[in-house]
Amino acid sequence: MKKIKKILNSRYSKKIINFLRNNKKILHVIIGAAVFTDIFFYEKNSDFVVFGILFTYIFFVLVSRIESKSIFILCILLLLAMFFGYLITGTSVMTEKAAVWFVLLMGFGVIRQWKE
Amino acid sequence: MERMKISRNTLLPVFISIILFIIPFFWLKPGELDLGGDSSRLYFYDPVGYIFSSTLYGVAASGIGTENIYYLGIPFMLLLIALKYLLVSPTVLSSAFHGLNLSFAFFFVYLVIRELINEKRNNKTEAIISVSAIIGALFYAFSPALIDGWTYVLITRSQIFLNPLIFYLLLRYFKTSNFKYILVVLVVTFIFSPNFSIVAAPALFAFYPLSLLFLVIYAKLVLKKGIVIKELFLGVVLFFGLHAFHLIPQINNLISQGSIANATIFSESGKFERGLSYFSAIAPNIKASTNLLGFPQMVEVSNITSFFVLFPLVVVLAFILVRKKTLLLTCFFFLIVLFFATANVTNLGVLFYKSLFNIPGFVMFRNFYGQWQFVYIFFFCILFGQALYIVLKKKGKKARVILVAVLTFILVFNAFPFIKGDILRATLWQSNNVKSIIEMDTNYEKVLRFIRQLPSDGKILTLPLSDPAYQVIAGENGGAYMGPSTIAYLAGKKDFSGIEEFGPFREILLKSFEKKDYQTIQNIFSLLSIKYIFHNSDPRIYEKAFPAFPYIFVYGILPNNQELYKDFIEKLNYKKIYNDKHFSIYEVNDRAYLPHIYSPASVIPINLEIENWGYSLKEKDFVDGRPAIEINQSSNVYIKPIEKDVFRSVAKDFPISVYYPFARWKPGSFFYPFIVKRENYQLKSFENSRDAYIDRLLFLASKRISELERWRNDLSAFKPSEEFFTFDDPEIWEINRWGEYNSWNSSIARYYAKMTTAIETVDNSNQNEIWKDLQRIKISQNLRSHQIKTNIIINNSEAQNKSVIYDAFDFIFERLNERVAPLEYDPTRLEYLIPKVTEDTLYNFYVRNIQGEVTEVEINGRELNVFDPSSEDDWVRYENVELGEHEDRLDIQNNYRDLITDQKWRKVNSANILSEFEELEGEFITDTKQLGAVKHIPGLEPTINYLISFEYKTYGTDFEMSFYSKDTVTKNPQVKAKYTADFRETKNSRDWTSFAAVVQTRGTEDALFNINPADNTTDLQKIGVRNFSVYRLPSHPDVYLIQEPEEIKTETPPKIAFQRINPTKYKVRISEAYSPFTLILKEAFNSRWKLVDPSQDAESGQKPFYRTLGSLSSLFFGNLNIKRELPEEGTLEYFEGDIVENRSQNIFLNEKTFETWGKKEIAEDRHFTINGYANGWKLTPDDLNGQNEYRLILELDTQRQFYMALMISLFTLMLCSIFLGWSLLKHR
Repeated sequence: MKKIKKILNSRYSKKIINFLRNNKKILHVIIGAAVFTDIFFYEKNSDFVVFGILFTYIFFVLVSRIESKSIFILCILLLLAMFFGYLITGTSVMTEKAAVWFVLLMGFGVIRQWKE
Repeated sequence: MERMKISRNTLLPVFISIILFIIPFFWLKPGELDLGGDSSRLYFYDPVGYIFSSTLYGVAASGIGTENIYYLGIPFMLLLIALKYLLVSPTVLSSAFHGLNLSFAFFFVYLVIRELINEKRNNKTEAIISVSAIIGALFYAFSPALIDGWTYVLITRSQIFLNPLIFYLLLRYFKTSNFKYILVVLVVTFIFSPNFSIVAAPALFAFYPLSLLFLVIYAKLVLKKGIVIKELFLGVVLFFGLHAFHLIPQINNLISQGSIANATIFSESGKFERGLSYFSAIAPNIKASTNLLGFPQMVEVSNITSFFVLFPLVVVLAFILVRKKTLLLTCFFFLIVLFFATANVTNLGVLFYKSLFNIPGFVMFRNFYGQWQFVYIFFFCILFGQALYIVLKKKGKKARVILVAVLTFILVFNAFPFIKGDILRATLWQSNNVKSIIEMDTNYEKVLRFIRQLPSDGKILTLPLSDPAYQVIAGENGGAYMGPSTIAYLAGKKDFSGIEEFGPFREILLKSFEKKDYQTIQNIFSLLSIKYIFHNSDPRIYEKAFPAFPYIFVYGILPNNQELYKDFIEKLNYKKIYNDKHFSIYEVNDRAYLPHIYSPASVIPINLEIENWGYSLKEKDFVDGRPAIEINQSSNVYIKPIEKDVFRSVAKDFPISVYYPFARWKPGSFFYPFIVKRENYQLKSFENSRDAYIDRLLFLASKRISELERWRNDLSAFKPSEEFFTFDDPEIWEINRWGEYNSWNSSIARYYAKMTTAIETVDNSNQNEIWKDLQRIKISQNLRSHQIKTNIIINNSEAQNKSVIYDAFDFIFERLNERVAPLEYDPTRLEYLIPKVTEDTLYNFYVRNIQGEVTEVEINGRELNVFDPSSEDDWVRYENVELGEHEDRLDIQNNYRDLITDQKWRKVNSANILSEFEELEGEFITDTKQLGAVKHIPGLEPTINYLISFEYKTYGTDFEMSFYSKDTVTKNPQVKAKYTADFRETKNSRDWTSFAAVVQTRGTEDALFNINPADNTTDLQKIGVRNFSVYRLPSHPDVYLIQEPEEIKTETPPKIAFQRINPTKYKVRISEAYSPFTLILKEAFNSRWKLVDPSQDAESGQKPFYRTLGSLSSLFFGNLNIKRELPEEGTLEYFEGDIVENRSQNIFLNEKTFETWGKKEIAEDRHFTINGYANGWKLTPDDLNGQNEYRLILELDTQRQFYMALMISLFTLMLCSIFLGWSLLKHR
């Protein structure tokens, strides 16, 4: 823990953290886009992709001190994606991916809100 | 419970509950019932009959009498008995329970949501809380996922309201710390004990651990209240005390080695064969999106489903609007349960779920999506209710009204078919539009009354027999009941209603049914104690009404219509004793019946399994000898030759699939030598199993073909040489030779090496000839497939010297085919292997020659003469045979003919393969306008094997060869029978090649053999066909060799008089027992059946305790007389009065119930299996102190254990009632 704190307190880390905090919205959009790209354009179910994006997002949220509200807004978008996917394609891969992302982000949001 | 203020907000949910309670009363018309399914629900129809037939005793109500611990339903049945006494009508009773489930489910979810919305209340918030809770509760009651389960409601379905009820009571306990809530919970669990038994284990372990954890965390973190561990512990102790009456016998059964329950939970095979493999098969079909919408899995739904997205949307909105601990906690548990109900949350999630199957008992969740559904929907609804409150509170009045209206509309609109009762009126599966709602036939009710009064304990055969032990009864309203036997579960008589209930006699009975061997069938029935036959000849329960399930299998073997069943019964030795409309009851001739308890005069030792007892059961006077059959594996008294039926074994898998694995690495590439090393290393690991080793060799040979196919244009040219088919694999360090893999030469040679090794492995194996023949057929099939494929590969390759490569492959295939030595099959000749014996012994030799099919019998090439040519018996005795320490070969010649000697080939020129216009013979030419040729094969019988053989030459072109038949057996009226291909193969050869296939037809109409070009674009195609024949493969006739002289032990049986007290207790009076004898009870062997002498006290230390307990029990309960009212007078006599059967009773509890407690059990070490399944005891005069006249009790020890456990439960119930009464008084 001390080492991690030391790394986080270093000059370069502080620069990165400041950059992340100053560009929260843009980065949020980028990560949201990554999630939707995985849902709509990537046909395979890859845990590497899912957990890669998820852990990046978690890191981003923790470092940028993003509120849980933003996570839940993303969850609403995912729910709508799932709705349209279900309406048009039924329980297709796309719909299922949206549902899985919803569950993962909902879980993260709940834990985040509990901490808050 | 806090008194709820009576207000508008309280009245509305009460009013809705009342409406929900009333709704089910409109589902059924007077007299109608929704019975049937695995749980049967017959307890609503006749709870008294049900409890006395199945619930009170630890033995199965039907079949051969295996142990079946089902005491768990007793309190619930007693409640039903009381309610039926008040309500009278079973329809009203059933509707009341539906109403109870629905209204309580709604009401208690409403209360739970109200409790969890822990906020200061004023008029405005009170109204919003109430509305939110109502919508949340309606979501639960009308949840699409839960509505789906209302068809064929199981006995554990009450969890739909029990879960929220108990959750609410526990929540109140944690809030108020008032122990009376725990007591109420305990009483509720006692009444609805089926939901808290091992039967309901999945539902129990899915809901309660997580709910309790939720409540504890809620109390600690949200309410900030302490938990009184002592009270919880007391609650657990009282719970186990209350449920002791079913838990103790069940747990005892669970931990007993060898029991089915023990094997399922604890064995490796139980874990994987029944749990993990099932889970792995269904998991990919379970969708997270379907669960998020609250819909049932794997069910077709309408588009309105998608609007259910509003519900999770409301949940997420609530999190955006406000932060609440209760909401977070509920959502956290909701997500956990969502994972358990879905599994498909990332691949890692699935892997994690699979790892949970290593936990003993987790296998109960193999059907996870159904078993977690209730708890998932419950948490979803209480989460939704809380979320809705938050959202409504933040919105204006107009928005609230719209949102509530939309949600209510979605719920009610989707549930409308359910509200109307359409869900209940399902069509019985695979029936011809027969509904599952039945109005019981009053004539059938008379039949049940008659059966109940039958004096004997003999069992009943229920016809028509079904596959899974289901009985079908047509109702007066056109519907039908399909479920467990009513004779077993209502009339209290054990019956056999399905093939599966015959236990170890299943195979020999099926064989006897098939061969119409009525004498053997009769003798088996006598061994199984089948004294009566009940025949329901109603056409509405068989044939057209039920063309498939539950008779799919039996249609092919037993009479396939009701008239034939009447003929079937006539041929057995039964006389009619009852007839009313469609219902007839027959009783066996006393001379053909072995009583339920008897002592044999002769014991036939047999060293064969039951399915080979045909010879021993053939005699007409079998029962006269009062026989018993004892299995003695160590003797060689009987020898049953092994049928060499290679083609029938192969037929099941025909055509043998040849799998071509994907070739990932190119020969000659950098990694390829390592791949070869890995292949060789893996191959070595298969050496211990011959079958697996040969399969692996064939797999690797096929892989060489796959490599050829993929890289055929990259291989270096073929170099002809003398030894082109040999190749030494380069070592890893011989880098300069790695490139040699990339050539036609090495591919051919390496393929040849693998196939040669496979053939040599078979030839050099010490397995028997049957195994070797099977392996050779497999290799031969692979060779054929490889040959075809290599022809295609070479043809399509860009190799310049194709003809040379063709020749090389032809050479090695020829050599390999020669070495495989393909089987020469003569369908008129049946082969057997006679196993060796330890020393030279003379045997009598018998062959069953039905309809004179057998013409010649030879052993090791020497023809045997008939012993008595004038005998007309089916069983023909031949001259004696001497067997020794070597295997012998037996050949039997049969009369059979080629079915198609008169049939010509006909050209086919349209898509309809039945059209024909010109006859052809021998070699013929087809052109692009035609679809080939077809030959009719007439005179086929269903479920019989036929051998099709011919020779063909396709001149290098691909031709398809297909066999078509029509399914006329299952008679599914929804599907018009049409020709479908049983197999289709592509053949290609440049020389005459032989073809042989074993097929089994599904119908009686002509089958067709079709040959057509695989590719219609080639201008000219030519095929030659010759020696086409179709032979019926005869069944191997039964053959027995019996040691001479035939050993049969004789005994002097005493006189016996017996009476059934209940299914777990018999009184037996023995007289004139002057010598040792065997006593047989014809119930499935169970070491817990005890023979007790009530006149002698037990000797061991524990027994005084049981004696005292027995005496006390008699004192307290002896005045009770709980029994089914049955006539008491009447006796039946067998074997000229040597065996007397007094009228059967059904006494659960009276002053004599405890007479065996603390009494001496005799002949415990001489209790063994006899007649293949029954209980036998060897008794000597010393066992009874030299007496020759005495009284014994036969009792199942499980029942004694149950009585003790019942006392614990009753005592605990009394304690709980006292606590509760005192608590209520204290409160006032």
